[in-house]
Amino acid sequence: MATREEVRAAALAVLGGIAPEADLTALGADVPLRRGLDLDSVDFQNFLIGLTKALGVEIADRESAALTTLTACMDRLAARSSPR
Amino acid sequence: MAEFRMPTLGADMQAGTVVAWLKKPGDVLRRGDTLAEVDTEKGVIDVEVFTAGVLEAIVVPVGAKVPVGTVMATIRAGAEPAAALPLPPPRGLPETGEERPVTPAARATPPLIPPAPIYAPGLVATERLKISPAARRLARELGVDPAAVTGTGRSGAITRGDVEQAAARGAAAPRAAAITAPPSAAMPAAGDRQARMRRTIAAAMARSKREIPHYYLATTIDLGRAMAWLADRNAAVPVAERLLPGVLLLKAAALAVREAPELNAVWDGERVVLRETVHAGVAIALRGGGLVILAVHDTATRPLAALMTTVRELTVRARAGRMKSSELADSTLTVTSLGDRGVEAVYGVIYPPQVAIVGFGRITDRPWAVNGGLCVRPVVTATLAADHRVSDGHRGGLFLDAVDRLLQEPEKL
Repeated sequence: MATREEVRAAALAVLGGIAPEADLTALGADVPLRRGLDLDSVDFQNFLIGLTKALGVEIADRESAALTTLTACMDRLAARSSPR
Repeated sequence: MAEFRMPTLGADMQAGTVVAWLKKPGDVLRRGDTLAEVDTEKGVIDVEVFTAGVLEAIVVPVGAKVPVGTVMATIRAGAEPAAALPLPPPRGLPETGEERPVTPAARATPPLIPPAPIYAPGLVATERLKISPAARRLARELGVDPAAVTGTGRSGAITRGDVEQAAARGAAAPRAAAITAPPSAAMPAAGDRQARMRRTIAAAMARSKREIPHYYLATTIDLGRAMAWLADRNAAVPVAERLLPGVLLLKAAALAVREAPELNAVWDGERVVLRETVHAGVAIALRGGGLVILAVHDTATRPLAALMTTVRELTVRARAGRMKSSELADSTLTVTSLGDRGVEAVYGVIYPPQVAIVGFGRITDRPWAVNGGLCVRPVVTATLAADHRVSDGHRGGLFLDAVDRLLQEPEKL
């Protein structure tokens, strides 16, 4: 189980690998990730794969579209126990 | 004896700089082995060899910039006995291996760079530096010669930290550059690469618009079945195995080539040369500007899941500047998808010497008439820009119609 802060840290680490030129310290928790970091659908899928690996959780397909911001990631993924 | 030449990695490439040799004379080479790392405006490219044999001699040293077609090394093919043969003079034509015909455009376009000087094999550095791509990039940006840096990583590998420390000490002693060219030419900085990439895109696209009489077609395709099938399939599998709609579109485009084979071809300056296999080139936008077109090999015959994995890996490596020569050189028909950027349609500019480019826009819900009634369906605008010297609007129309039909039966893709 990950805390909100752990989810945030994991998300930022994964995003750092996908968008290495972005200044993630300036990324607001409520900024839409795809627009804010110019992620295309392949980038976003790589982001989801990275998150599931880092946190040991699975993300359902219908849920993935809701993970639009850091806040949304924390709300949905923190405190979730691994189903695997 | 075979010659290993600077390959042409797309119509827009005229020269490359040898960054490292990964094999040394006497090493056994298998087809597909990476023989050298070559710096181009698209990044550092792993150049693969397509002749099995033994590496005989390295002709172009690390740090040297040479035009496409220059002999870089010689290979004793197969069971050929070792012999002290004199090097044949460069003929200015790229050798790309027995199963890959020379790109006609490379033949037709004279090199804009004067013939390469001949380098003495004795100057060649064959040791591969243990350095990560990230550290190598940083070294280039900071103007540090990696060969002058002491590595502190695993097995003496040079880390980013080592490079930073070396830069702080002012350890810029360009070894290769001293032999051949000024540091700016041998080790371009990131900003310089941007400018060079812009120039090469400009050259290729200006040539395309100057020489290729484009015609354009568009059609709107109902993706109702495809998206429902995709949602079903994706619901049952973990995220790493999910398919994006773009990969269905890619495969449909590759399969539709059956109906209009002349779209999967190259123009050699006088006539069209059909390509049997479809290696769709996906256009990948790079962060900070520019784009590369990378081949998804055997697009029409591989399963969707394999294509998805390839597209994901290509995207990551393209953005990191780590690509293979075959990926840059092999594409036969470009597919561009700007849907992610929100536009509804994209009318492409053909990437010479190819003769067509397929475009897909954003998948979006629209009112759609079915059997005289109105409903809402996800639809996509598919476009084709094709070379009128090679095909006509009628054939192009058949192609787009086939894309539509294929997407109505997603389970068969």
